[in-house]
Amino acid sequence: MFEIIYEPTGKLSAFDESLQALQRVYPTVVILSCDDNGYTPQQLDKILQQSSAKILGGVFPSIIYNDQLFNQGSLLVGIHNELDIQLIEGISQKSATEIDEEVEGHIEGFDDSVKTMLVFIDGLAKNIGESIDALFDNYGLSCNYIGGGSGSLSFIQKPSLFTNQGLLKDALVYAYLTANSSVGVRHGWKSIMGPFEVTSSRGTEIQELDYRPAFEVYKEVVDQFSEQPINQENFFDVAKSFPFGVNTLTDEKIVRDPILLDGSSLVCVGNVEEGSYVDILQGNKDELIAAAKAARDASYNNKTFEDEIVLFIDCISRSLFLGDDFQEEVEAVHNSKKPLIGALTFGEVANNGKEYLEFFNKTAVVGHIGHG
Amino acid sequence: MDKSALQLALYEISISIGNSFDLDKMLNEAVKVLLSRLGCSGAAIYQRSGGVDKLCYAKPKVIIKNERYLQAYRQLLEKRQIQKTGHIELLIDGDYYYLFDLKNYGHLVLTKSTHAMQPITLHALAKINLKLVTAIRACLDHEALKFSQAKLEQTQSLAKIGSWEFDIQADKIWWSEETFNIFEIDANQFEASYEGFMDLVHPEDRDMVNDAYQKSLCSTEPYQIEHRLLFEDGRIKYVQEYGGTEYRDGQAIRSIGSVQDITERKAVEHTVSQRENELNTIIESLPLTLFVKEAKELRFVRFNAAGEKLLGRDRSELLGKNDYELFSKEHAESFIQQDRETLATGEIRSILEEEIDTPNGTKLLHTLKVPINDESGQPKYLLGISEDITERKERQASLQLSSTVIENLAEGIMICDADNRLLSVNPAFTRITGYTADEIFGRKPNILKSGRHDQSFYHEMWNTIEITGTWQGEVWNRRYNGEIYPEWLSISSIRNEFGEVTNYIGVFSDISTIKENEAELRFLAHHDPLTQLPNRVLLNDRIEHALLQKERSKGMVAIMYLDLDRFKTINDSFGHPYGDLLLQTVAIRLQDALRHEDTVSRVSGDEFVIVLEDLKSADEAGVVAQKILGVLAEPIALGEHEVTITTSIGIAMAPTDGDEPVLLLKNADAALYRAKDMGRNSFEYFSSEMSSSSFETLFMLNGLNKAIENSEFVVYYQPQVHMDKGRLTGVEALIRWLHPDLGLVPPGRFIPIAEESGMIVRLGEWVLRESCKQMKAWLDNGTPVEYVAVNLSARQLLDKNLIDMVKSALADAELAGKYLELEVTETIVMKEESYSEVLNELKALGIRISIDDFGTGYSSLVRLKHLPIDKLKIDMSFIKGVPDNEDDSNITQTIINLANSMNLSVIAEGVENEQQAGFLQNRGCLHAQGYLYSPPVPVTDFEAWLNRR
Repeated sequence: MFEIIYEPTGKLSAFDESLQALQRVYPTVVILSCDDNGYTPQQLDKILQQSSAKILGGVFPSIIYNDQLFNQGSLLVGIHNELDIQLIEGISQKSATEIDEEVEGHIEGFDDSVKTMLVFIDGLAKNIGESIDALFDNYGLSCNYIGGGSGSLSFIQKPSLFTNQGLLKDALVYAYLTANSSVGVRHGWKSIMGPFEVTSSRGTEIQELDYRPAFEVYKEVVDQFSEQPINQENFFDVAKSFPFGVNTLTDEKIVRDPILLDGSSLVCVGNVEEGSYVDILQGNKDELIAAAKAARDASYNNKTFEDEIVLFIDCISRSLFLGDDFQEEVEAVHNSKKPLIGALTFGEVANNGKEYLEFFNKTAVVGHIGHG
Repeated sequence: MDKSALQLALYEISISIGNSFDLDKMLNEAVKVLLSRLGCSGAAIYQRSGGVDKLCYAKPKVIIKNERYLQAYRQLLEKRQIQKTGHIELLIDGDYYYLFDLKNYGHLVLTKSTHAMQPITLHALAKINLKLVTAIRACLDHEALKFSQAKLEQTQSLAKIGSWEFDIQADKIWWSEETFNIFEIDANQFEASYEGFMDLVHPEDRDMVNDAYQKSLCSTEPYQIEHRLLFEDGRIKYVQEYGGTEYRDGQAIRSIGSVQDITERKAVEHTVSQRENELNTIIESLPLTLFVKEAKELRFVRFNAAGEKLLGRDRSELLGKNDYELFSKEHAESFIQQDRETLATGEIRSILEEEIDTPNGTKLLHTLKVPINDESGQPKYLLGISEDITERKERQASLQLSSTVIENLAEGIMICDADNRLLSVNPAFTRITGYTADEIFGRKPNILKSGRHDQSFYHEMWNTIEITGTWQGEVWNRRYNGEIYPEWLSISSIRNEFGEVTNYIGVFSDISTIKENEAELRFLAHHDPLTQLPNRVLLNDRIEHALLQKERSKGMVAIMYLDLDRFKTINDSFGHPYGDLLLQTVAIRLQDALRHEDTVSRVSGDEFVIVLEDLKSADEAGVVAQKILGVLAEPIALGEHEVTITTSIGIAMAPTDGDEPVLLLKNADAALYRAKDMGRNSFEYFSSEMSSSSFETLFMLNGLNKAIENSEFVVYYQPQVHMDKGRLTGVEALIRWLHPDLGLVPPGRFIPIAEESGMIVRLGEWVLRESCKQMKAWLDNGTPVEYVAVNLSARQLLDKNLIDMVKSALADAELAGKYLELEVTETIVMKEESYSEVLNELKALGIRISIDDFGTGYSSLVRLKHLPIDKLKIDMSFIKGVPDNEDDSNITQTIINLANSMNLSVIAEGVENEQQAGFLQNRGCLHAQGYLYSPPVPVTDFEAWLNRR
C-alpha cells in the first residue's frame, strides 16, 4: 500500500506537514524533492532526525508526478512496511575496497525475501561506479535495482539525500523492498561509428581509443556529424549529442556521457573499463522518446504481478536534449491508470533485466512495483 | 545472440584473464567480466585440496549465504565427471548452473538465471577456462616465487651480500635488491649496468676490478677480489666480490657473482692494526727501558729504543739472548733470581736500585718486573720496565748538603728548579709565609703572589735575573692566612757548567713591621689626628680631584666652609677634652649626613670644609647645607653634659665661583662670614643670586612640610577615554598644591624639591590614599569610572614599606586592587632589576601597572617582556608631533605595534586635537587622555564633565 502526497509549494512548513501526516500512518516515507525548494540541512536535519518513519530519497532538478514535470515541490510516498535502509557516507573519500567492505557489512540483513532495492546516490560524488560495483559484488542479481543520482543542475555538490540522519551529501543510501518489481532500461541512442577499443582509461577518464589519444579519435568521428567542429570551447555543447556507448551482450549499449575535455582525455559520467569496446552514438527526438516507451513496455511486459506504482527514473540530460519535447517522453511512459512518480537524475541505477547492474547515463529507467 | 557481440564479449573475457599475478585481483577481474559480459547471476570457484572442495571465491558475495545456490553447487560437484563438452550443466528451479574443470586447482561454477547458455558460448568458455587455469597457476607460482625471493633477499640483506648476473650474449645485467642497496642505487630509477657499477668503483681500483673479471673470463677460473666503492659524498665502502662464468661449447654464456659489503670488517681490521701501531709507537717512545723475556728460558724477546740506548747495543744483538750472555755473571744471577721469584709469586716486583754495567759505565736502575700469564694462568712472559736513576741519585746527594746549610738561617729561603718549581724551603720560609714544605713542594712561588704588583713588575724582575743572574727588591706577598705582607727578596739563578739554569734561590726577610710604621706616618701626614678626617693637605688634593672630575661629568662642585658658632665658649667652659669630644662628634655626624663620595675635612680648630661632587645645581648644595644645619642642631652629649651648637656655612660653587681650590676656599670662607653676619645658624652662597634661588627652595621645602597638615594639596583627575566608543575608561590622579599665598603652585616647581628631599614618599602616599577613597566613592555611587591611575615615584619604589602602604591604602578605602593602576616612568623601571620584584608584588594585589612617558627612555625589550606590566602610555612629546612629524608618527606607530605584539594595552597622553586622535585610532591606539577630552580637574568638575557627556 502506497500513499503519495504531492506538495507543490516547496515551503518548509508544507513539507513538514506532509511528512507529519504520512509518518502518522506509514512506517517508511520515500521523498523525491526539487532542488529549487532550496532545502538546507539546517532546515531539515531536525525534522528528519525526529521523524518516527524510516526515510530515504533525494533532491533532483525536477520531479515527475503522473504525466507532469515539476521544478518545485516534493513527492512524499508513504510505504506501509518498515524498510531496512542502509547508508554509506563519504564515498568520495573511500577506496573501492573500503566501500566494498562497508556494503559487505550490510548483507547480513539481506535474504530471499528482498525482491527490489531502491538506490539513491549523490550524483555529483566521486566513486559512483565503485559504489554501484560494490552493490553488485555483494548482492548480485538476487533482486532488482532501481534508482538514480541526486543533485543540482548548478553542479555544486551539496546535501541532496534524505535520510533519518538528515539531509546528506557524498553518500549512498539504499533500501530493501520485499515488493516485486520489473525493470525496463532503454536509451534510444544509436551507434554512428565503432567499436573502438578503450586501450587506456582511468576511472571515468578515457585516455586512449585504439592506441591513439581519445579526443583525436572522438573528434574525427564527431566532426563528420556535428554542425560545428568540436573543440575545447564548445566541447560540452557538442558532446552532449554524441555520447559513448559501451558494448555489452544486451540489446542496448551502456551510454557514457563525455562532459569534460582534459588535454586529450575525455572525462565521462561513470567509469569506462580499460579493455572494453565503445561506439560513438547519436540520438534524435523520436528514437529517444520511443526508447522511453520501450523501457516502459519492457518492464510492463516482464511483470508477473499486480503493480501498484510506476517509478520513472529519467536522465536530466535527456530532458536538456529534448527540451520542450520532453513532455512527450513523460506522457509516453505514463500510459497507465497506476500512479507514476519519478525524477530527472544524474545517472540512473538499474539492472537491465536479470543481468548486470549498471550505472547508466542518458537513459530512461522504468520500474513497475507491486505490493509486498 | 548477435554473433559479433558474443565474439566481443568472449574477447573481453579472454583479455581480462591473467592480467595480474595477484590471485584475488585476477579472479575478481575475470569473474566480474564473466558476469557482466555473459549476463550471469553468480560465479564461484572451488579449490580442491586433500579430496575436499572448498569455496574460496564467490561473486556476488551474497551467494555464500544463499543455500539455493550452494545446494546446486554441491550437486554439480558431486557429478564432477566432466563431459566431452568440457562442462557439466544442471537446471534447478529455472536457474542454469555450469561446472567447469580448473584442472588441479578445482572448479568454476557459473549461474545463469534467465536462459541457458548457447553451446557455442559454453564451448568457448571451456577454452577460456584453460587460460584461467594457467592464470591461476601463474598467480600461485608467482606467489611462491615471491616468497622464496623475499626470503633470499632477506638473507642477503642480513649478510649484506648481493648477487648479480650478466647475460653475456644479451648484454643484460641483473642485480638483486641487496646489490642495489650496497651500490646505493635506487632500483626504481636506474637499471643495473656495468657502467653504473664501474662509475662507483674507486678510480684507483677500476683497472684491478676490470682485469680480475677479464682474466677470469679468459682463464675460465672463478675470481675473488676486494676493492673500494667511492660515493659522491666522498664515502668509501669496501666490497668483496666472487664471480665466475658459465660456458657452453667454449663460449661464455653468463657470468654470475656475489658482492658483499665488508666495510665494517675492514674498519675493525683497520682499528686493530692502528691500535697495534699506536702501542708500538708508545713503547718505542717511552723514556724507560722496556724489555720482555719468555718465561721458560728467560731469553729476551723484546726491547725498546730506550733499552737499546741504555745498553748501547742494537736490539738484534739483544733478542734471543739471556742475561748471562749480556751481563756479568754476578749481575746476571741477580737478575735471573729476581725474574724467577716474580714469575713464581705472580706479583709485580719493584727493585728500587739495581746496578747494571753498560758501555757508559755502571748505571743505577729502578726496575719493575711484571709476570704475564697465558690463558691457562701459566707464566708466559716477564715484562720489565727500568728507569735510569743514576743522575737523580747524584743530585739528591748534593741537595742534601744544601738543605742542611739553609736549615738554620733566619731569612726565608726557597730553592726552585729550572722550571721555577719549589724543591725545598727552610723553616724560616714556613714561619714567614705559613706554608709548610710539603704544602708547597712542586709548586711555583707565585702561589705567594698578593696581586699588588702588575705583570710588568715581574717581567722586569725576571728580565734582570736573566741578564744579571740576580735581583733584589721589595715584594708584597700573601701569607697562607691571606694576610698581605712586604718582604725584601733576593733571587739568584744557579747555572751548571753548560750555562744552563738549574735552580733559582730566593732569600727574603719580612719587612712588614717597618712598613706599618711608614704607613702610620703617611696617614698622619694627610689626616687630622683628632677626628681622623682629611687635613688641609689631603683636602686640597680632593678638591683638585673633584674639579677634574667635574670637567668630565659637566656637573658642579660645592665647597662648603663650616664654622661651629660659639665653639670657643664651650671649649673654655668645659675644658679641652670636652672640646675635642665635641669636634669628634661633629666629624662623625657630618660624615653620616653626607654621601660616601663627598669629602669632610677639618682644616683648623672648629672649622670644617666639605666638598660635594657631581651636583646638578647649586640648589642641591643648599639642601645638603640645610640638612647639615639640622643634624648639628641636635643636642650633643659630652660626658654628663649635653650641649646644643649651631653652625654657619658658606658655599662656593665651581665653576661659577671659581675653578681653583684656593679661590674656591677663599670664596666659601667669605660666604661663611656673610652667614655669620646674617645671624648664624644659616648658610650663604658666595653668589647672591644663588642665595635667593636657594631661598625659594627652602621656602618650598618648609611649605611642603606644612602643606599636608594644612590640607593645601588637592587631587585633580584627568579622564582617560576609549576613542572609538567615546566611553570613559579611567582617570589619572594628579596632585596640585593650593598655596595660601602663592595660589596654585605648578607641579614642576614643587615635585622636584619633594623628590630631592624625600618628601615625595609622604606626598605619594597621600595622593594614593585620596585616590583610593575617591575611587571607592565613585564605585559606591555608580559613577562609571573603571579605574584610577596614580603615579609612583622612584623613591617610593625604593621604599621598603611601599607594599604595606599600598595594601593599607586599599584596605582603608575598602577598594579592590583591580580598580587601581600604578604609573611608573619608563626611565625608572628600566634602571633597576629589583623593581620588577616590587611590581610583581603589586601585581599580586590585582593592581595594574602602566609604564608612563613610554618612548622617552631606552627600553630593553627583554626586560620589558619580563616586567609584569599591563599598559604602555605613549609620551605626550610624540603625540604633539603626530601626524605631521614623520619621526614622531613612526615612533608612535612602533610603540603601538610593540604593545600589540606583547599583548599590552596602549594609551596616548597629551591628545589635544582631532587630527591626533584620528591618527591614533587609525594606527590601532584606541585609548587616550588629553585636553581634547578634558584637562585635569577637581573632582566636582570631573563629575560635572561626566554628567555633560
